[in-house]
Amino acid sequence: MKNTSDSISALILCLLGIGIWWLSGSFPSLEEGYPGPSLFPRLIAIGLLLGGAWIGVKSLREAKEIRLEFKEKPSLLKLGGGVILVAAYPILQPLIGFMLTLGLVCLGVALLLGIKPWIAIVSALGTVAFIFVTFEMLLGVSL
Amino acid sequence: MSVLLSWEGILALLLGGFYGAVFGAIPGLTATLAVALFIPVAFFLDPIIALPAIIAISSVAIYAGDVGSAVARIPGTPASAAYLSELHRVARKKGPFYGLGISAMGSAVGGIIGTVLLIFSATTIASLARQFSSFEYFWIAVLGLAAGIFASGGAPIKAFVSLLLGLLLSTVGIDPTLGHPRFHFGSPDLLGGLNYIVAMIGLFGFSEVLEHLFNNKEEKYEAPQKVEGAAGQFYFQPLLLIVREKWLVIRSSILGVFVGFLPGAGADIGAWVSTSFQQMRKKGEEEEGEDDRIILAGTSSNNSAVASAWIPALSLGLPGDTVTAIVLGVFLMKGITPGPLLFEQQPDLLWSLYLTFLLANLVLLPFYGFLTARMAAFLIKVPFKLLLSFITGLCIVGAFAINNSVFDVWIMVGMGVMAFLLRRGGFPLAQVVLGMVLGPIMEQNFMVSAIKSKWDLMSFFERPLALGLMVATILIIFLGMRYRKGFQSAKS
Repeated sequence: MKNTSDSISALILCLLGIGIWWLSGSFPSLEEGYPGPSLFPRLIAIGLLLGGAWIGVKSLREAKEIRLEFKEKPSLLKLGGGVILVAAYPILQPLIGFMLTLGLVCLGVALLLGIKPWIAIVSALGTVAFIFVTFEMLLGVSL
Repeated sequence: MSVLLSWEGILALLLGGFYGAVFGAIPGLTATLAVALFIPVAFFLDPIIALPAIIAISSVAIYAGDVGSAVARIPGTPASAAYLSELHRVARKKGPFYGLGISAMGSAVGGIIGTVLLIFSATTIASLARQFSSFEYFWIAVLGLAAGIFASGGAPIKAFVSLLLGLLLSTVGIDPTLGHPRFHFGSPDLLGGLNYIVAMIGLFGFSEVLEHLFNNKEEKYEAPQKVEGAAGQFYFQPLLLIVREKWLVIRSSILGVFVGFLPGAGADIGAWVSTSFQQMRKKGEEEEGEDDRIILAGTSSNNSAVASAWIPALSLGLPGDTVTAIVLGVFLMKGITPGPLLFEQQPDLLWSLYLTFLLANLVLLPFYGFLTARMAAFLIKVPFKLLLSFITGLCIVGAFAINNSVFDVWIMVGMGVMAFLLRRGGFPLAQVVLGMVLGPIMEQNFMVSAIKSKWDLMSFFERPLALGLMVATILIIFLGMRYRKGFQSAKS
C-alpha cells in the first residue's frame, strides 16, 4: 500500500513539474536574455521532476505489499462531505449570514464525525456563540 | 515592557498558558495547532500582548503533551512521543506526579537555558546580520532550506519535495524582479500571493479534521491511572534529580538549542535527538534511574528548542519551527520587520518577549504543570471528535477574518486537502511552511545579487561571510547525510 501511494505521489509530482515548466514558459525574460520570473518556477519544476522520479524508482525497487492499518474503515464519502461543507461557506455566508452558515457547517461536520445529533447541535451552537463573543464582541471583527 | 506587566499583559499570559495546557494535554492537539488557531485572535491584539501569549501557549503546550503519556500512555504532542514509554513507566512505578514533575521541572530549566542563550545569541547574530548584503541573505535562505531537509527526521527526499511545494506556493502572485504575475489563473485574489498564515490554518488545522473524517478514528484509551499525590513529588524530588543530573540537563538543553535553531526542526526533533543521544549513551544493563534521565533529556531539550527557534526568527527573519513561522506572519501583518533593525527600533518588544519566556518557564510551567497533572484524568477523556467541529469553525473564521476575504476560506480548504494528501503520503508539513517563508527571501535576494553583479555567479562566493554561509550549508548537508541513519535507527 505504501509503495502504491509512493508511486501515485511520484506520478503527481512529475506531472506537476511538467505543468509548472509549461506554465512558466509564458513568463517574460530580463533584458539581454537572462532568465526573469520564470527562473525559480523552472528550478522548482526540475526539482519536482527529480524528486518524483526518485520516489517512483524507490517505490518500484522496494515493491512489496505493505498493508495500511486503519482502526476503522476509511470513508472517502465523509472526507468529501467535509470538504464540500467547508468549501460551501463562502457561497452560503453572503446569502444567509455568518451565524447560520457557520452553525450549519459545524453541525454537518459533527454529524459526519458520527456525533449524536443532539450533541452535534449543542456543539455547533456553542462554537458559533464562542466565535461570535470572541470575534464580534471582544475583538470587534465583523464576520 | 510596561504593557506586558499591565493587567492585560498578565491576563494574556495566564489565558495563553491555560489554553496551551488544555490543548497540549488533549491527545492529538499539538502546540502548532494551538498557535495556528490562535492567530486570528492574535491578529487583532497589540503585538506586545499577542506575541507573549503565543510564547506562553507554545511553552506550556509542549510540556502538557506529557500528561497523556504519563497517565494513559498517549502522547499529547509529537515531542512527548520521544520518551513516551519511559514517562509512562516512571508514572506507573513512582507515581504520575513524580513523572510529570520531572517533565515540568526539566522543561522549565531547559526553557530558561534556552532563553538565556536566546538573549545572548539573538543580539550577537543580529549585529552580525547588519553586515549582510543580498548575497548573505540568499545563502542564509539556502542554509535554512538545507537544514530543513534533514531536520524533518523522516525521509530527506520527502522533506525535499515538501520544501519544493512550499517554494512553489511562494511563487504565486507578483514576481519580485519584473512585477510579472505568476500562477494567478486569472484570479485577482491570487495576485497578492498566498497568505501563509491562512495556508497554515489549512495545513495544520483543517487537515486534522479531514484526517479524522477519513479515518473514522475512534480512539479508545486505556483507563487512566488515578492521579493523586503531593506537591513534594511534583516539585522537590524532580528538582533534586535535576541538581544531581545537572550536566545531563545542560547538555540536553544545549542540544535542544542547537536543534531548535535549525529552520524547520523545532521542539519535536529536539526531544527525539536528545532522547536518542541519551539512549545511545546507555551501556549494557539497565541502570537505576535511566528512565528518569531519558525523560529529563527529552523534556529539557524540547523546551530549550522552543526558545531557540526564536533566535533565527528575531535576528534574521527565518523561522526556527512552525510556531515561529506563524510569529513571523504576525510580525509582517503588524508591519514589524524581523532582523537587525528590530533590535534597534523595537527593543521594548524584544525585552517583553525575553521576559515572557522567563515568566513562562519560571512561573507558568510549574503552575500549569501542577494544575494539568491534577486535571489529567479529566483532560485526556475530553472527546476529541467534539473538538473537531469546533476546530472547523475556528479554521473557517480564522481564514476569513485575517483579510476579511471569503476567498481565503477556499485557500484554507485547498491547503487542508493538500496537507491531508501529503500526510497520507508521508510528506512532512513543516517543510511546506519553511518553503513558503524562505522562498521569497531566497528568490528576491538571488535576483538582486545576480542583477547587481551582472550575472557573474562567482560573486556569490566572493564575500567572506557569503563563503562562510555556503560552507556551513555544505557542512549541514554532509552532517545530515552522515548522522541521519544513526538518528533514525535510534528513533525506531
